[in-house]
Amino acid sequence: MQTDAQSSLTPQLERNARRLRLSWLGAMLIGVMLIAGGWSLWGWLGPQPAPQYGVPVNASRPIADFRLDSTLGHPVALSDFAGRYLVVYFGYTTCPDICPTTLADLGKAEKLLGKDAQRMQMLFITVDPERDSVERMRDYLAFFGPNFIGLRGSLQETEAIASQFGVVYQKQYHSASATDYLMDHSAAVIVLDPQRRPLVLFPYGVSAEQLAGDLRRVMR
Amino acid sequence: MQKTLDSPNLKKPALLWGGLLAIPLLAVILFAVAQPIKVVPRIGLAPGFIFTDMYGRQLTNEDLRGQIVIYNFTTTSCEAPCIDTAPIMQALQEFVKQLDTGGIPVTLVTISLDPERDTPERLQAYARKLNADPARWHFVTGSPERLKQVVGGGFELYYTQDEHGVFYFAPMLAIVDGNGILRARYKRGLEDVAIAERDLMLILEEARNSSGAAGLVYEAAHLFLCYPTY
Repeated sequence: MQTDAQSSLTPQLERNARRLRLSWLGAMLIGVMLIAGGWSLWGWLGPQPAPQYGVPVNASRPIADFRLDSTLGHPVALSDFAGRYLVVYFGYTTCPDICPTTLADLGKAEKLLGKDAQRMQMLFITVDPERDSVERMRDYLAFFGPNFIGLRGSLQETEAIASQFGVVYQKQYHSASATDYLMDHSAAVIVLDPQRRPLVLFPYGVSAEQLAGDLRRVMR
Repeated sequence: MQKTLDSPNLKKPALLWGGLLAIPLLAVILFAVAQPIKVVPRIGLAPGFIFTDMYGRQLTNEDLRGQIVIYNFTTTSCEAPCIDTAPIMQALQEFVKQLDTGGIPVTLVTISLDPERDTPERLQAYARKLNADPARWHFVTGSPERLKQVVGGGFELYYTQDEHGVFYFAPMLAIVDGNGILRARYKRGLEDVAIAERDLMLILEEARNSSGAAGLVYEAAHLFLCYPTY
């Protein structure tokens, strides 16, 4: 049996319960929007996420721009790739082991990245410009993927550019012949952000899967 | 009566969501403000080089990978008004000798800007004069072009030489970490010793904690610019 007080309270309780449900829903919606907004803002404005397999650099000083002959058939500058991440590797086409292994891993990483690969450009800079012609580099790089660009400078240009990246190299002669030598060179892969600031270093031996994972992580 | 039915229940979701959002936000703010961990900033990639040491042997930046390296730039004939940074290097050598680096090698490298006069023999005599430990302290030089490229272009120490062969440059020290990243440059002379020692300890601490969860915390310290004051 309902009293007068109870009968007047029931619709009131129902209203309150409805308001409570709505407030929960509203709060959840606002919470989700805040988290999504904060996440996007962090991704947009926040610092770069750290790589898992590479060495984080996040340098404040950019690499000075340079222009070199390229396998595209015309000279290119780093600034021509504005807005893209640059994956830079120094090597040479007659390199017996380290270069082909690294380039194969980079080519595979590019495939693994799928559409994300469009946000970066792989650059191969020869440390042996005396033997590596642009045509020779073009043929060589085609083995590893369709999107590698080979760059070739003079001896002086190459040395100065390599030094900027902390890369060194020198000839190791095997005979008296002037062309019978190997190039002893630094083997790291260096990733630059779209402002040409060094972002990550990958030491030799990081797999294609690890490269792809870290590249996806640091590119945004 | 209505008030007691409404208020507590309606506030709960807001409090819950607020709390959920506030906890990580507060943790981040607390980390950024309190800066429980300090790190030395990463300036850029240190330049690559191949130089010749005081025994006529080659020394490259790749040989020094994995080591924390303190560089100074001078000539063996640096006399007033040239400000000699050798006393700072001597002080740092003594500091490093006493330091528990946890197995991480700390090396000193003096780059001579004057390859014409600073022959290997002269560099050896200079090293002896400074009581340099040859296992810990290298003295190197290279061709004028390579020196300009590495010291001027890489370390950004600009120097000139007049017609009498006298070099003009500001005193400078630099620290490069084991990954070949330029971490610090000091340009204030002897007063930089204490700062360089502090930074060296911070870089060592970071190198010791570079993996696992500790590594992530140190990366966060970089993200939140937890840099020491200079």
